[in-house]
Amino acid sequence: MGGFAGPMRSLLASTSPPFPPSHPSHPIPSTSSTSLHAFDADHLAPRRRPHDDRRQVSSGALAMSDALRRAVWDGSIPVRVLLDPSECRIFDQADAYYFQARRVAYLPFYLPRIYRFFEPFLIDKSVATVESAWFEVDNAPLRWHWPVGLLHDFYTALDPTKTATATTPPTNHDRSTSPPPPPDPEPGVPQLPWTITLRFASYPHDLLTTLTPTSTHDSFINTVKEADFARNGTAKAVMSLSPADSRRLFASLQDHDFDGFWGVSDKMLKHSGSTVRNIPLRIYNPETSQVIQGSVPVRQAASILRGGDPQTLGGALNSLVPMLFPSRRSVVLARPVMHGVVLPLSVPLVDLMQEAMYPDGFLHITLAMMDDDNDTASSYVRLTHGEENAAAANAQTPLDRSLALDRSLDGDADWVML
Amino acid sequence: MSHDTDMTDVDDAPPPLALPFLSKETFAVAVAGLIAQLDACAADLRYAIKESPYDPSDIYLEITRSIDFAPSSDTAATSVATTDETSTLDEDDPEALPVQSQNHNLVIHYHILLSPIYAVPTLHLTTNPPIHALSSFYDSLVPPDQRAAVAAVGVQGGISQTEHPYLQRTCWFVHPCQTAEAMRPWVTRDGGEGGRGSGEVGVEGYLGIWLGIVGRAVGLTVPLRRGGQIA
Repeated sequence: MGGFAGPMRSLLASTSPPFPPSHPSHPIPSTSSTSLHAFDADHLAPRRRPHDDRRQVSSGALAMSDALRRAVWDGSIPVRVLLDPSECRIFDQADAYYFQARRVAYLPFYLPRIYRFFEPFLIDKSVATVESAWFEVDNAPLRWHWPVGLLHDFYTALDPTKTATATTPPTNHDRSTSPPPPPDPEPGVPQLPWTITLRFASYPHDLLTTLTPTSTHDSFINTVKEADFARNGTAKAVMSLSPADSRRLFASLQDHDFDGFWGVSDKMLKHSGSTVRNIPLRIYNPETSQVIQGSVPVRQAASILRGGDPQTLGGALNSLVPMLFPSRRSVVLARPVMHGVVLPLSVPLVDLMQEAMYPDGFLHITLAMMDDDNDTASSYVRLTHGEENAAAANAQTPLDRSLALDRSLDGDADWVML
Repeated sequence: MSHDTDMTDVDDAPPPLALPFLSKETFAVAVAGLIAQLDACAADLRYAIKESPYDPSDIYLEITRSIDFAPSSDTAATSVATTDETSTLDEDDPEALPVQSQNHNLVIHYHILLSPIYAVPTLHLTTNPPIHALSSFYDSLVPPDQRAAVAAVGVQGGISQTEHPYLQRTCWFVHPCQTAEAMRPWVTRDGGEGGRGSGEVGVEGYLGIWLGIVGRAVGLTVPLRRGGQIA
């Protein structure tokens, strides 16, 4: 089955049907964000792939890749929108607006219908216009130019290994019998539906770009160009698109037209005048708000002489964020999350890009910090060369042994947890 | 946002970047080259070398200017055009000029930094008071003779709002996706177009040329003795 026997196959096996269509004003049953739970480390056998494996992908594998892309494309998040009380003319507050947000979409796509829903509740429609609207969650304005899935995973610091909990929205009819408010949610545990607040006053210009009818399209295309340049070292592929194709790329995303979007996007990914050399990715740390941008070669440099093993996600993270990913093979301090699922470190980056990139061409990966009861995160010790074997011998847990082994295998993991 | 990871950090470094592309190291040389030109020719210009808060090896050059502008767009355009044609920076210095009563002072912070993906300098800028609308930006900062060319690029022209790579706040920037091709004739020997590409400019003169192409689009023109201005 060629190169797609590992994570991709198991991913397909558990892909569930798409979520029900959006249904405003009706609470949506809590569901997980996407169904890509099959990025399961247990299924990941080491994979050796021939030099240019992408040209050897069978038709069956292509069908599978289509299924993966569709699963990513159809991933969605139940969202509850509340109108900020200061904007509402009714003391008891407006109803909440519920909808199913596509993970690959952008918030401005949904703004017109959200605005129409709340319009009767606004104190002064001449001030609270759709142009002045913005969303926030926990006092953080939600960037217009990040995909919804990234916004959700970043601002919830999503850890898919934790079980989602449903929140019961309060209504005006059961206040006297309402249970006490739940305790603060545990970080990383998704609270569904995801609750965001619609505001109009005090647009946070310092943190949020101005929303205009063209700004979302503009920033999307800029990111597509950047991703294309990162992949190929030139912008030939994106520049070679016809004006009609360029328009279709964004219009199909707005219309959620899978075939329309990938018809154009594949022209870039498979452009004859360019070869994919690097994979563009951004890594988001919800704890520090730092974003690290990388452009990672598709082949491991150390192995170029013997044909070039594909670079894995673990290798990329180890290179870009070595403090959080001291090992290429095992997660130690943080889990990489994308589209609402934990990604396996062994997945080849080029496969991940082909099957699961966001429509703008980037892999937007958030980090879920792992629980650390023993507070070992602060006790890193750099080992000198002679100490490695002693560390392996003294390792008390499978994780320690794995790390020590990793050190001796790779020769490139400088940090070992003691 | 931090875009502070140079692509050359990953695994073994690829072959050295050739002009018109710049690496972290050659960008630092280019910045030093520009500063030498600025010191020689524009002594009153306010500039500072700054570091990324995420990685001190990521440097950028901040140039600060201020212009008079009137809130009405027509007046603003005239004011910028006048500023743009002045031959020395002394006349742009707000400390040397009394501010006209009906005009406002606009302070512009230009940040010249290296794009890790495009491997060329990019121009980011913020203003005080801040400008939020694209049309106001054009009125205040894009010289009239540049507007048609700038507006013809991309979805809404070659200027957009974005997040500053280092400062976690919004700013304006000039799209870098065509910078390499614009620079190629000036900094490479095989640059084409009738042998303009003498290659003599080199890394040291890179940013002087670049200012004449990219900076010019947003009113950042500096009279440099050689190579800095394009007729």
